[in-house]
Amino acid sequence: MTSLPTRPGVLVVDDHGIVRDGLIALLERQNGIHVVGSASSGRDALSAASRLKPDIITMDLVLPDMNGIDATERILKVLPTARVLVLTACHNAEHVYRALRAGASGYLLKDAIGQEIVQAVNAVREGKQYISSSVAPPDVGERFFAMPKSPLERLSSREREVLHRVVAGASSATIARYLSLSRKTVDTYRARVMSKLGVRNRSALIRFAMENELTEYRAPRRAAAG
Amino acid sequence: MTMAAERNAARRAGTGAAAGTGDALDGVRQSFNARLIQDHERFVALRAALRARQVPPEAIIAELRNRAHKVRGGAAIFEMRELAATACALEEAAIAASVQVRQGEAMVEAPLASLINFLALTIAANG
Repeated sequence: MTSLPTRPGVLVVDDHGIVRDGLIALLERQNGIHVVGSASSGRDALSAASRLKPDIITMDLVLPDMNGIDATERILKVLPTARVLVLTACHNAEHVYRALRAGASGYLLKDAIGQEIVQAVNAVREGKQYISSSVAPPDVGERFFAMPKSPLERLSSREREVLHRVVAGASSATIARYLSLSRKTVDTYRARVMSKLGVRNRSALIRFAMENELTEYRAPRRAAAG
Repeated sequence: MTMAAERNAARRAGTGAAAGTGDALDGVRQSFNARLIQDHERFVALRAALRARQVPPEAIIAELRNRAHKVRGGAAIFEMRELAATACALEEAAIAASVQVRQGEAMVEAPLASLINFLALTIAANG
């Protein structure tokens, strides 16, 4: 039997500096929790996790360069003993489902952090699953694990890449140039993505992606002076 | 929410539920509260830009979404629930507006006004 670390090391991953600092301060107030480091993007999190080998990682979902679900999956491949506690403002079923499928041990809403963070950290530290009471009923984890893949999980990596670029406003011709594909092939990918996601037009596709794909949405340029 | 109700909620929310513990969290909370002033100013400027139609609405709506998301996350961490909920309403409206840009201005107008009002009251409550 593996003994529990007496003072678990926690890596905090969040792209928003104030939230990151607040979370670190909140965790360090708790007896027995030690914050070993922090990261502000998915790629930083991968690197920090390999270097610092934390026992627990609190993971935001919407991150620049790699979303928290993909980062969770990749971190757990290189650090399988780590426990990932997703800490996010997103509470739709798709996010919960995908996070758990990626290997997260817990899912906590930022709105509930004050009351639940210690409980959640202790639960995942003991190898249990923790899902915020405001997200779903307690059996949601098992039910979700038994479910087939979600529409987004059924997309291939190339289809997801095309999806990201469509959402970013790129035309088929631009995507084709970037991915070294023919325009016709890109159109085929687009049609396949729409079919797999069950959407009929580009607007619906963009909306679905923005609500579910956890991509950071950047303004094309500064909106107003000042 | 009425103005009086908003004012009461902002007063209750104020500096957050766990204020006054005198630790590092208080320092971060104070930084967040100070930043709300800049956020408020920026939201007011974005509303003016949206009304003046000086820049593409997509850019404004994208910034509204990102900024509301950050306010929401920070407010949630510091247990300022009403502020988090008000910012959440704007973030969701901006997501919806970003795919229907022609009606985007109308879609974000009410939640943006609510957030601007709530921020002003929160800032006043924080002194």
